Amino acid sequence: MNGLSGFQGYINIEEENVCQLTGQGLPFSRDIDWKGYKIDDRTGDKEEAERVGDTKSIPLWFIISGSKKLIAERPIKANIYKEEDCFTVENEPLDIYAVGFTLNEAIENFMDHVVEFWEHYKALPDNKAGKFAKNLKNKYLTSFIEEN
Amino acid sequence: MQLDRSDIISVLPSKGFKKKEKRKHTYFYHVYNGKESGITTFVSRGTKYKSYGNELLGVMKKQLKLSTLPQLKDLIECPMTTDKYNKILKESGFL
Repeated sequence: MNGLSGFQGYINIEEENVCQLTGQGLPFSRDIDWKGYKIDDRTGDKEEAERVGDTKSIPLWFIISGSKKLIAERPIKANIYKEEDCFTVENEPLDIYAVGFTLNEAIENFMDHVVEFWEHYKALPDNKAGKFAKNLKNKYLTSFIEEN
Repeated sequence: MQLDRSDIISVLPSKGFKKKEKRKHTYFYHVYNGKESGITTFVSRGTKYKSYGNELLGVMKKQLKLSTLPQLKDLIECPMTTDKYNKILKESGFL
């Protein structure tokens, strides 16, 4: 069993391609059967024709990075892909694309990035933010509250 | 395709990105006309991330709102100027 402190639960790599996720940020245990994608060398896109498994999504209620804990107003959907050598965890509305060479690492990185962007946008004055940044700032500040 | 992390770190500030060092990652925030655009990327510390291959570059390409890996290579290896990159962001509605 691999520990994952930021997740307040664990991700159990049972076999090469099967993970079981359990954690405080999750409503239930879930088995994930990883298959994978092939990356197009020219565009960097995932080749649909090579896709033999689906994207897996998990809801996250809590985001924990270091000593910081954010509570999601509504669960944050983390889409997880298994690529050739690494995992990608992403949430397009929050514009977060995290990677890791293990699923644990990718989720930890995802949480690091959420906390970094939440802190960054919280401190960013509106007059220093362009249109897209203001939109992201609004999403971050309305999506999470900090646990004291 | 592969790019060195050190090249990414050294080049992005010259392409309009503000660097911010954190414990596990180095973040880059794009600035245009004195305002943050909301375009960001990051590189991670650790020996596993010394060289960025297709998977990591594919993610970075999405973060930087580029369409292809060669575009990202051009941005990092310098043929793509700051103005050209900003033009791409304008055309795709991010600026």
